[in-house]
Amino acid sequence: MSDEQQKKEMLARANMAVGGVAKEFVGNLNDRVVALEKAIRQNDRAGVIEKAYNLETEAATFGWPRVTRICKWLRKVFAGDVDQMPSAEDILKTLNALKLMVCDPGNPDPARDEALFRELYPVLKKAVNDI
Amino acid sequence: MNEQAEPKKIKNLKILIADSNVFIAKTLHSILEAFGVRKIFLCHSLKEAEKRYYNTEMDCVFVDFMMENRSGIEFIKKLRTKPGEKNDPKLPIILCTGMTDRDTIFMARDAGVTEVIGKPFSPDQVLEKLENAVNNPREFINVDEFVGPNRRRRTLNRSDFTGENDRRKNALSQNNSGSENS
Repeated sequence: MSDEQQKKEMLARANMAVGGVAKEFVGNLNDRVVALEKAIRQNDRAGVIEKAYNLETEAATFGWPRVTRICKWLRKVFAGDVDQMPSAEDILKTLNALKLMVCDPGNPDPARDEALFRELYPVLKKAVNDI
Repeated sequence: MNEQAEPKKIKNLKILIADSNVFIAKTLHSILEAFGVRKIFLCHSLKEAEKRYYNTEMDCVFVDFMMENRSGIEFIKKLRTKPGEKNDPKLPIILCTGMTDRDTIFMARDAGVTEVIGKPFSPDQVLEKLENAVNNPREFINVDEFVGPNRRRRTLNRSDFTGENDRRKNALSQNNSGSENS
């Protein structure tokens, strides 16, 4: 088998393996958001930053772009890396949108998520310009 | 005469993954496993990773930047300055990060990382970075202020350069024709 062919096979196997982890992630997504919410409600800044970062990178890896962007926003807000600090009400609104996006991760609703994100966007953008 | 080292086979590598992010670590582990790598050491804390590193010979280390409140960078600096008896100070270190802003990349480069891989990553990116880090190492610098691969990447005559005007290549050919004429 040529090197090129071998490489192709390796990559195909790896893509399949990532698909398996993605399924596991989806089954776990709701719990992760619950843990993030708990850290926010307890005002555990370090916990929020870590959990939001982890979820941000995982959601990006497994194809949840709006979850990624909301988590990035939360990470930046709690790290104080913002243009304008959002109100507690705005944070709560964002968190509720995130919870709704992951309420049934096995049956994602991209149209609903898109609408939610559009509605939230001005609030997100005001605090973190490069959202 | 320069002797070219035999390229290392991916499947024979011993790789340490230090990432507190369970799913990302699992993804990387699965990708490497699919590449045929048989010896993968997965650590979810820096303490665990450090212990493993100092007790096992490795061929490559993957470290997450944000691990334990951004301590991934400190961990890399430690591996570079105190490599221990089991490992080569030139060991390829690949930083995994979700933050690919300029400051983070510079910080990583100055800590002595060999390659940076941005999250999210795909299997082909992992393969490319791994092959590059293991089989195409840059010159290694070990001075008081810096220990790590040369921070300047050699870009002369890059075969993958697709721009219209490769100024480095042009300058080189001008120099060559100048020296031929003289």
